Amino acid sequence: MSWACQYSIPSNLSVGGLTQRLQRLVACRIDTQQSTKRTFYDTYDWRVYASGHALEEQCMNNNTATLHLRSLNEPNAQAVATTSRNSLRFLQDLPTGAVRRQLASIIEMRALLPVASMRSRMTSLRLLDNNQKTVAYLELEENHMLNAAGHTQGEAIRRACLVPVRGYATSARRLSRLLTKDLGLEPADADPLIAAVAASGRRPGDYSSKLDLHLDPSMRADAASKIVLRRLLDIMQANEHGIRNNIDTEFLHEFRVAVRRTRSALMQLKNVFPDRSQNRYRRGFQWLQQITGPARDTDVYLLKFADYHALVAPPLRSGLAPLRNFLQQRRNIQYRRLTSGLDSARYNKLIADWRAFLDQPPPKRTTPKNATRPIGDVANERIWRLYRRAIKAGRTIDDNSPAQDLHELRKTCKKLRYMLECFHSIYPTGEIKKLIRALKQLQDNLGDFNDLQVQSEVLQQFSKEIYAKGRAEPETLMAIGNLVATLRQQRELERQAFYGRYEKFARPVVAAHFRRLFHDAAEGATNNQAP
Amino acid sequence: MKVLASYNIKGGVGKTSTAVNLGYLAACEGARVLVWDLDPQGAASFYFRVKPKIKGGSKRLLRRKRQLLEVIKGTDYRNLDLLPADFSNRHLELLLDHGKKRRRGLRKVMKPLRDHYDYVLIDCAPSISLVSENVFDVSDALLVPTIPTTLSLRTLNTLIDFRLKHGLTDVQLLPFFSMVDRRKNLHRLILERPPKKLSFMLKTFIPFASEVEKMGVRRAPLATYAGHSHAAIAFEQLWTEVKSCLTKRHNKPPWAAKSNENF
Ligand SMILES: Nc1ncnc2c1ncn2[C@@H]1O[C@H](COP(=O)(O)OP(=O)(O)OP(=O)(O)O)[C@@H](O)[C@H]1O
Ligand SMILES: [Mg+2]
Repeated sequence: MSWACQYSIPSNLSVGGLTQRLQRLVACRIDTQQSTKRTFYDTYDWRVYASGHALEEQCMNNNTATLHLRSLNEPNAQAVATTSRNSLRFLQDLPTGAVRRQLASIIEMRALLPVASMRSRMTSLRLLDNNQKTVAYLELEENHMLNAAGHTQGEAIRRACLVPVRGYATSARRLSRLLTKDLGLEPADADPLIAAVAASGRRPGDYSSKLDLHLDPSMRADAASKIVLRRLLDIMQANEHGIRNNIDTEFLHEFRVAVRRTRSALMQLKNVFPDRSQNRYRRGFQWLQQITGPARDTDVYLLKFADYHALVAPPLRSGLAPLRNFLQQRRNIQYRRLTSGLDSARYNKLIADWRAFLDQPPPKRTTPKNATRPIGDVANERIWRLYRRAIKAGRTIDDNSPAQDLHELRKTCKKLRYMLECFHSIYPTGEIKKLIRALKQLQDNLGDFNDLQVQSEVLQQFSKEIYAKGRAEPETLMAIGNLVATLRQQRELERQAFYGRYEKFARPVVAAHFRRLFHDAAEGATNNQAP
Repeated sequence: MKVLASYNIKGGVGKTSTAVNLGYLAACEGARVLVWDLDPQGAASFYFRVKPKIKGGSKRLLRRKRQLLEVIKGTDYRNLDLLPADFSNRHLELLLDHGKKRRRGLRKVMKPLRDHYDYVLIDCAPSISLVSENVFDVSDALLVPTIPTTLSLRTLNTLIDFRLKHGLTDVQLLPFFSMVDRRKNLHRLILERPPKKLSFMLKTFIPFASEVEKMGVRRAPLATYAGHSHAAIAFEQLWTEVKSCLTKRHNKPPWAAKSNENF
């Protein structure tokens, strides 16, 4: 598009004045004038914003609401849906249609939360041709930003938005010229979302679970490790309230990923911290992972429920309903237990002590032999070792290997993945991404195999429990049986797919890449040290 | 994407009113709708206040020098677009009239619309021609407004025979009574006892009403200015009935249908 769609209205021009002047210049008609409350929604980790969109709910005085999903770059590319007021939360709550279709892959299972709001006076004008046909729309808005407490803040921001009609580009261009040349409007590029979020005291993208750190390979290993671990602790704490308030399942998931990464770092970074601290926190986070496990498991089964439903033979599907109730009840119990775990003295002491430990600057002199070595060297050694372990273990797997072997390999790959992710910033940009992509394919296969294995066992266990509670109709037991059989078939398919995935991961180019980044560099370093 | 053609061999029976009003109702429900004005008279374009001239003409359109999508115009209503009539539409007939696949030319042209619209409503000119054969080929259903007179019923029979003779049975035939005037004896008689052969006639009929005539003055769909009139309500019922006929025909068991939405 060669012309802008969004303009800011200069302060010496009122919306009424602008309308009057425009009506003197072109044929246009006021369509509607409305007061609305506009609320922006996003997930906790800003998925809508990160995908280049703004999601806005406009509530009119008459209690109707519309939902607008628009592209930040092309505000006219927007999808609209009608909703009942304040009913937004999950994808399922949205009416079917374009908004829901587009949001599906953006927000997935995450809940939508209000992130900012403003009060607006909106005037909608139609530009007409000599047949009284609408050839462009002009939306004039006077926005009063609301702060977190719901009070207006700062001066009103006044904007004009030109919405072209398909097939009438010439008219839109003409109107655009008129607005800028004759009426002195300035093109504006930032979506009102940005100003509204700022007024509420936040910044788009202020939470992310990415480890976007900048570490220098020459840093002391203990200092660098503390930076990574502190970031992981921040992520855990940022997700706590979402778990307690049961907002969506991702809070617990991200919390647990941070716990697992922390544990993995504590295990892999040998002789970096004093033994006593290392052992204590290793045990602490192992406990934390245990007490958060059962709640996550029920989340997973419920998230997968739609898939399960589709996997069961159609005539048996209705039999699954009791399983869903069972899982729902179990989830409530597990979340209550989890919350009391998070309220416990043990948890609070673990977190407080851990924070204090991480905040201590590394001592000048310390005994662990890796503590003062450059983090680049220490990370190289660990990653290279894990890579070789994974390659070796994968090579021995054949059709007779027990599932346990695949499970062990999966764990090694996970450790490798965490190390790559935690320390990616000490390597040239982009290099680690390529390796992670190669590793991920194998991991997905191993993960799916393991999940299918565990799920078929656990579902059978659930079926027994439901039966024992006397709540099982024969249809339910048959439906679960049918599901388990299908999952087992899928598991076998994953197992067959393993060889191909492993071959790809073990192929020479990838091996050369690992060697160059983590082995040759290390050799060079030791050679330099010992001339 | 469902393609519905408003069609009758006879003129002045309510084809354009049907295409315009049903298109509007579908768009109000949130479907993405295109009304294609395929009648050189350009009545549908007139109702939407769109000038009927396509730049370069339909000749270039069919030769695919221009994409169909480039000549579409937005109407004054959300989700509702119009493909304007073009007086050079006579080219259409000439252009379709060569090659082996002469009945399938339109199908090719319409392919790019598939991702953009849920419904295409074609407003046809009154005749049987190569263009209409192409319309039968691309349409899921023919909406056939029929005035309850003996002559109109004979024309409808001609259409039924034509459809069978040319093996165009993929397209569903949805005739309904239009411009029904209950003060006229013949209308009442036919409405109460339709001929046996026409048992598949839709239940809804559109009454003769001055509000519908006013569309020519208002240049807007009926529901925008007389939403509560009998005729407007009849069009709503007609749309509901048409939709149910469309789904009935293709009702595979729900679990056998492929779904694009993952939820
Ligand atoms: N239900 C109705 N009641 C009264 N007048 C009607 C009704 N339906 C259509 N008309 C009027 O009859 C005339 C013909 O209607 P319309 O244009 O819809 O028919 P058509 O079949 O498309 O005609 P043509 O064959 O000329 O394209 C128009 O003037 C229209 O306003
Ligand atoms: Mg007509």
